[in-house]
Amino acid sequence: MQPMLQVSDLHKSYGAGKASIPILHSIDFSIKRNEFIALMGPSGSGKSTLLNILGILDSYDAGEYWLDGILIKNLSEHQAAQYRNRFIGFVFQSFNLLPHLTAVENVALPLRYLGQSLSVRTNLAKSFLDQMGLNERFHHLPTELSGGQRQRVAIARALSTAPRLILADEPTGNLDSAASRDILDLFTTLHDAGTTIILVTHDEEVARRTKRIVRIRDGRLV
Amino acid sequence: MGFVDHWRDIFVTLRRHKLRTFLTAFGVFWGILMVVILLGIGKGLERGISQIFKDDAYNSIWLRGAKASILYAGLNPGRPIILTIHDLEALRAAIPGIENLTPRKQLKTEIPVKFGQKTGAFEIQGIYPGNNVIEKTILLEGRLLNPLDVAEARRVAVIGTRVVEILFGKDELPVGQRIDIHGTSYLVVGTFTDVGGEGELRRIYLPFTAFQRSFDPSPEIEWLIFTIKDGFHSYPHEERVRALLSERHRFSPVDHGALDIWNVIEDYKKFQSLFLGIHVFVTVVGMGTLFAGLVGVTNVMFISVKERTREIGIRKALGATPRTILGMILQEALMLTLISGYLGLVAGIGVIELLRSFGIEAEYFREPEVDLKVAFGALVVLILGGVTAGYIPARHAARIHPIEALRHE
Repeated sequence: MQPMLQVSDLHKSYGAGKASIPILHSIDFSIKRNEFIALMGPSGSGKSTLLNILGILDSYDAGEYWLDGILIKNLSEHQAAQYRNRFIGFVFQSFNLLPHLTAVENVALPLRYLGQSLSVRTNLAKSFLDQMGLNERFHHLPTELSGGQRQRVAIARALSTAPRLILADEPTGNLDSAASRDILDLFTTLHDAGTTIILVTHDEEVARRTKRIVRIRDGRLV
Repeated sequence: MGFVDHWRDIFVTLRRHKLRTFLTAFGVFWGILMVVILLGIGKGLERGISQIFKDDAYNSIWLRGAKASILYAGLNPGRPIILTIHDLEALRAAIPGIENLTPRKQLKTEIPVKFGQKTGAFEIQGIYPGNNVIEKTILLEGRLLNPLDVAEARRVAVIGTRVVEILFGKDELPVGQRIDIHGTSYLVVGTFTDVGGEGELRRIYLPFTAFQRSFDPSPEIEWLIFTIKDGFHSYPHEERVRALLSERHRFSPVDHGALDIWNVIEDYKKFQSLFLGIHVFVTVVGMGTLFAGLVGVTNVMFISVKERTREIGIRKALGATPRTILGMILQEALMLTLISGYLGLVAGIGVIELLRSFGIEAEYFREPEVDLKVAFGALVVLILGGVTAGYIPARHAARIHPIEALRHE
């Protein structure tokens, strides 16, 4: 079976000429559909850069990145935005909900950029929030929600455009242990339902909840 | 990703920064308000001044004898210069490009005029038909004076509306009636009105020659008036007339006190350039004020973009294209300018209408108004201004790199 995601001989450095600092060296790995992977590494290891490349937020210098059979390379800003919208769902450590939008509006935002009508995206957003157990929080602003609830809104938002891949960057980093467990249970449920998830963490406890651990150090996979 | 989708975001953003939004909006509001008021008042000034020129032909020159002020050819200063009907003929023969020449001879006081039992005192003037053009006399009934009236010294009169009101009853037709002017019977051949006001409506015009016979046979005239033909406006009529009359009356050709000369066309030209000045002034000041308001909008949008860097980063991560972000910021700027500008426009028109309804009028000021063309123009300027003011910050926002924006606190 063709891998869901494949990275081969990927290189990335910042700066130019002699001053250039290599960040990633010859990264090779692939992920099958419906895998649940932890990407681990200390800070400065290059894992954020790799995550940004996988999330189509950043470009790379050499090698190839295939996502669901599409080569992600040399994209214009416009294309990158469209691919992010359709292929990637982001879950951030600090939730990154828009503070002046309600839960439903936050979840519906990617659908808006996808071009869905107001009624379609509102209904979809509500059903995702429902799945997250937030059916009583539709019209709450982020400040009116607990940390765990906010992260669930963010997960609902990440799922809203039915992306190929969920990228979660330290999703439990700002949560207490109960809420963390809650969120990780949720990821497990999503994985069981067939979602492909890459979770970035430096917490072994969290990593152990995934099915495979990929470690990165000094820009190389180990 | 429709246009309408942004409105809620925009309202929320603007509402979160009430003071800033208010101050910016006020800048634009004030700019437009000032432009509209200035334009309205400019219009009022223009109307007031045009009213002055409405009364008489704008291309006329009026001459009246005064006193010699310079010793000349052995003649003492202080000697009165008295124009005569012969001067008029001399002018007609010697000076090119003049027409509608008319003398004006009038009695020193208003004279009693009778019709039946009714009497009134009116200003009686002996004129040539050219006077009709110079005074812009508006015929109501019958006819105005013509050259035959003058040539034959007919005892006919054309009377103003106030004269009609005083001498004639409501149902009486003045034309065809005979009125008694200081003991001489005159036939009313026409009635007129004039925009020059009450004084001119109390006039009775008689043929110059008939006036001479009835009241004062001397050739002396009080005024000598003519208009200048099109195509002769650059001809130095004033100088040539002064030179000619200085020979005939033996005063110094450089004696500017010897004749009273009222050159309407020169005044008109001066006012024309004054109008132009007012227009330029109003436009420059108005545009300047407006521009300041728009710079304010640009500034605020920059601050807004800066503050929302992280939000823009999130939106981009979720799939907002640069064009979407550009549109979002542009719409915000546009809405800010449009709403405040529209309010300014309405307030400005309100102020001008208020001025107008209070009937604030002076010699040089009447009926201030904002015409629709100007209002529409202001609106177009606003839309363009809003887009321009928003464009630079919007482009800045569209270029924000999502990774850096997400790291931004």
